[in-house]
Amino acid sequence: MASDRVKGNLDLMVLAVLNDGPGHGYSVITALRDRSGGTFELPEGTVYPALHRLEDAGLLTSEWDDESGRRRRVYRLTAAGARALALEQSRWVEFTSAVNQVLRPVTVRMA
Amino acid sequence: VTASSGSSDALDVSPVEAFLDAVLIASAAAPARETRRLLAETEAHLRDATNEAVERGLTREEAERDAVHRFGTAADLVRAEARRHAPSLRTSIRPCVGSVLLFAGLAGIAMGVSAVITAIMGAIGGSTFIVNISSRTHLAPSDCTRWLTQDPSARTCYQAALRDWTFETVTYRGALSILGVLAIVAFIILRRRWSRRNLATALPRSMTDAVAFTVFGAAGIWLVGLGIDAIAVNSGRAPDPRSVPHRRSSRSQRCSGSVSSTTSARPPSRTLPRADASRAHRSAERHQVSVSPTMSHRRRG
Repeated sequence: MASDRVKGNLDLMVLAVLNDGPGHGYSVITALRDRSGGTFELPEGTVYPALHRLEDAGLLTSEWDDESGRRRRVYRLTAAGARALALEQSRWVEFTSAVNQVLRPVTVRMA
Repeated sequence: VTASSGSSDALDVSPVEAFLDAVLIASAAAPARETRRLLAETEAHLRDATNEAVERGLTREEAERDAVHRFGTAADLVRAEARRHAPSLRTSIRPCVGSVLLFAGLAGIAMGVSAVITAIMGAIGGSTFIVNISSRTHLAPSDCTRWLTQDPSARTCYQAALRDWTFETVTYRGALSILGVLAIVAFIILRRRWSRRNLATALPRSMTDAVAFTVFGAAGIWLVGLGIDAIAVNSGRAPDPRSVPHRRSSRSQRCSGSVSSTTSARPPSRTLPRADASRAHRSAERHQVSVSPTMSHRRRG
């Protein structure tokens, strides 16, 4: 279930990671793992279809980088991607706030 | 795919190499460029993950196994990529629309070429070179009246029918050719618009070829069957001069005769050469053979 929740929000988290700067697939999955404190343990390969999907949607651009001696595809957030990230972040905050309200234990005061 | 990692024997396949092979094999149906890109990214990822694991103290082979294990299966990776390439309904329909327009256009233009050839044949050989009359179809008086009204210079219903049907044979084909040109123009416009959006065809090329081969093969067999049927049915039959229409003293009289266009499913009789059949028609006209008033027409002009 946790894995499904992560997969369902993978696009948003990938956009958030790349909002800090361009990166290739391995750096994105490493950042996801590090920023989640090791909580998000996805099959690392799942990040690539997500990156390609976001690029198809115009939210990312990419180019080959050969400078490190190994050919890597470096992804960068577009303006449309930044706008989509901001929108989804506000929706996520609103959603989690509502969920937290529901999950919070109700204290019943006895008269 | 690059050479295997340092710890692997040249003849052995390292876990990373084996995984890349599996991705390549599973991506057989994917676009080549996408496959190359996915392989390059996957290999770079696995090499980075391997190096990181070696730095943590694993042997290279253990590190490669760990990197491959954490990456997931090749089938899952390729399946996720395939979902990204799955064509939408609109993308699926567009190639079909384009193909229909193209084939309709080509068919219309072919009809136009046939109209030109028919017109030339008619100019050289006369109407009977295009439209033949056999003994099976009868002309109704109402049709005769209409044809003779439309063509006052015609002396007989037979002559008027020949001219009318010749005209229709040429003009209808000409009209179809105009529609064909319009279909081709629409095809070119739509193809330019759609190609700018980099829309791929919905079907693999091999499937498109298989469908085209099957359809055209079936059409060829059907046409050959029609030809054999026509030869078998009409073998030994010839127009009967006694039943051919003839000159009338009044346009209100019934006309009789059988007319078959060269465009009809059944070809003209093969027993008599066309020139002989025409002579038979003219002979029948000269003799003014009487016609039964109960005859009804089978084909309207």
